[in-house]
Amino acid sequence: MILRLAAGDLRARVRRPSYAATLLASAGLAYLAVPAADGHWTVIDAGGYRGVYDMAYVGAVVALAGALWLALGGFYAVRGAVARDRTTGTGRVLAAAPLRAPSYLAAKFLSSLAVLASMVAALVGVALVMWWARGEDTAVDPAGLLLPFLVVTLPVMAAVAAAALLFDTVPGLRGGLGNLAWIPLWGAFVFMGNSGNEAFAGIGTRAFASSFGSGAERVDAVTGEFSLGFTYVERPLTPMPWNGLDLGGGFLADRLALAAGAVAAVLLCALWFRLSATDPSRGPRTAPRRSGRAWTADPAALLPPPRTLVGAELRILVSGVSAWWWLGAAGLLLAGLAVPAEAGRALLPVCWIWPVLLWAKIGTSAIASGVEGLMEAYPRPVARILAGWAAGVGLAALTGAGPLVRSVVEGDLPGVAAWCAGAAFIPALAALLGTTGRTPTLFQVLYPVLWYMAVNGIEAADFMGTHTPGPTSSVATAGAAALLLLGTVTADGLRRSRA
Amino acid sequence: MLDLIDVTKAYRGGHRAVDGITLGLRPGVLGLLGPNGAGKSTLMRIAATAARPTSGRVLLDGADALARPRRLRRTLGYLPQDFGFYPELTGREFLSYLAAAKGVGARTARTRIAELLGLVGLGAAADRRLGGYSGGMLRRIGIAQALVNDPRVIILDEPTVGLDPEERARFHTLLSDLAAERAVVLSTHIVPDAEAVAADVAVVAEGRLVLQGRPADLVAGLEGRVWEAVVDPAAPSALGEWSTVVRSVREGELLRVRVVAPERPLPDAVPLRPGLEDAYRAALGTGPADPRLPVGARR
Repeated sequence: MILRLAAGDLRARVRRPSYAATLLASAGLAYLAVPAADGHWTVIDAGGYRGVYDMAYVGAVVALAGALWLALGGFYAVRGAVARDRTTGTGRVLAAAPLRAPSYLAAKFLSSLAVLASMVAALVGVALVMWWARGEDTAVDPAGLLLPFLVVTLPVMAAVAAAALLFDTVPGLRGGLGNLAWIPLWGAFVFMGNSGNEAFAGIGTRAFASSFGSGAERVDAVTGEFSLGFTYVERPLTPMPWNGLDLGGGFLADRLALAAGAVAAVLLCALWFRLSATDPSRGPRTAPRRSGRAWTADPAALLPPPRTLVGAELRILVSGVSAWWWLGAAGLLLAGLAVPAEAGRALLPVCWIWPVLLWAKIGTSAIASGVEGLMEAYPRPVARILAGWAAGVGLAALTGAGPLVRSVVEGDLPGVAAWCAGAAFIPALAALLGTTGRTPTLFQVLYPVLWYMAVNGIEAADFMGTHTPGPTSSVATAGAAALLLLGTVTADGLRRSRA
Repeated sequence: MLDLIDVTKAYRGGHRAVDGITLGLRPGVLGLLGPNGAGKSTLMRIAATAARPTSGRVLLDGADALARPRRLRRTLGYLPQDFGFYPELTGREFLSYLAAAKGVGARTARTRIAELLGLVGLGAAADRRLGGYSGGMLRRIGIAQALVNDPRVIILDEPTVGLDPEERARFHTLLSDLAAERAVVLSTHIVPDAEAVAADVAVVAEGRLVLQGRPADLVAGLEGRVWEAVVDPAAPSALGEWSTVVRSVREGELLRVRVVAPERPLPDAVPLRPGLEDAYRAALGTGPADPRLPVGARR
């Protein structure tokens, strides 16, 4: 029964258009992991060196890149399986079937694992092509190519499939908060594995990196710091011998433990998960409330009735938001007003990560709620897009007004310009990602990454002007915002013309 | 007012959801009947500019509404078959939002929304959240949103689904009032709904318009062709190949059937007064096209 359920679920998933996109992304990742001899962008940099592109090294480098990036993105590809049963109404049937929660969860886990494994298969295929295309070593070694995927990537994928299921069943992590939480959680998982902790191998970086040490000794090379990610190197990496994965030191036992932990996590979910949770006619349907007490659940109910389309869009963005969010926003506003302009600039990133889940509703709330069906025949589609964007700017102002006011008071014009450009940019990005992706997840994932890059001083991503407030960067950010809005209007128009 | 001329909608693979339909909408209610999957909703979406036809034209007062949909949309009220809502908003807030999206001024919207909430019987529930509404109440909110901009053209796709008999009766009265000056299309597969309010009826099957006319004319065309007979369920062919069974009730070992047939199908069959349901079912008859049914109405 479990296998048949998993097979049905898998069929439904692989027939969605997004599945082809994820396979394509996997193939692209494998391509990037094996750069040309004179390439400057690399996923793995062993202190200025890389291995010779033989089958084992290509397999290992692609497997490790997959364990890092496929795990990060694959989580979003496979999560939401339980919620989908609820929204499609399939759960109503399942809830009345003689099916037990552990079987249901096991089927979802297997189906997610199969989706991720198919992406790993795409990695293997492209790795083989890249080995042949780079042509540095012609010796055929299929075991060497496949082994890293088996011991590095697949156990990590099992962990990701289990994590996705865990997030889908734990209240509070099911929605956008879970999307946000996965990024730092995954970062911590990778970091802990790389930190030299012998008891935990993480994604398996050390099994790969330690072999470089002995290779470097053989050629008397002095290697710098090992880096894994996607970085630009000034000089193309120098090839050197690589001894294959270091499977000693309990690495294989660690991999088995990771896979077993994934299975245990799935079983753990069965402790609190009930199949009735997939039935849309049960559960958290908003009960009728007396209007006078509605604020206790939704402080937005206290807001005056909106008089304009922008006001109405803003009301929708903030509807259903908890009192804690409002308290946090008020705290940020007051803190921004209290601190000097310089400190306010440092506070601005906090102000502008706080509404991330609300911005993610721009361009997607009508889709998620089904209101889009009503709106299809409404006039002024461009005005609605602009109103949604303006509501997003309003949110930026709501939480980030403190630093703006301080900048104005202290005559910090570059700071004011950077603030305005940033406030225009964020909702424009949300509008484009929401309109094209038709899901809040894209913004929930990409914006924190961009924000993280900005906070870490990467100039090209400094949309808040926190590090380089100046006319040039502000104009560039404002220009990007305008382009994003133009892209949103165009994408929406194209979609309508194809209806 | 609104004309659909030779409208076709074909999907990939060649399936034609709508196949060369021409319809003219004038003040009054047009009941668009057809079974599920006949192409009614696609036709409604095209008329509402929510979908573009593969070929054909949609004209509002003679002007191309496909090239410039804004003019039609400003004067259109459209209730799709399926729609969603924001559960956190109250009925009044939701209508206020949709009125703003349609470009209705705040003051006008406030007055209009209060009127509409009363008209659809939701005055007392106006300030309750939509998340607590029943299916019928949500349907009535959908009807109200279609009317919030005081439209000249109203397109309602299965509007009575989920309404109880009392609500349906009130809705019929509302439609009759609206139809005095407005073109109203009521798409449904519930024949009594169309019978209750429609001045004209069109029947769509497999994407084509198979029947159109005034209900009285369509019914008159079946005079002397509707029969009741008692048959053996084991021998349904006794009714003849030109018969369309409209209704059948089991009575012990036998079936009492209501059929449309050009001639008395069985010696003991008794003639009945025809109704719109008979015309509709005859138009959808699964047998070969009968050129004798109903006179002057089949297309």
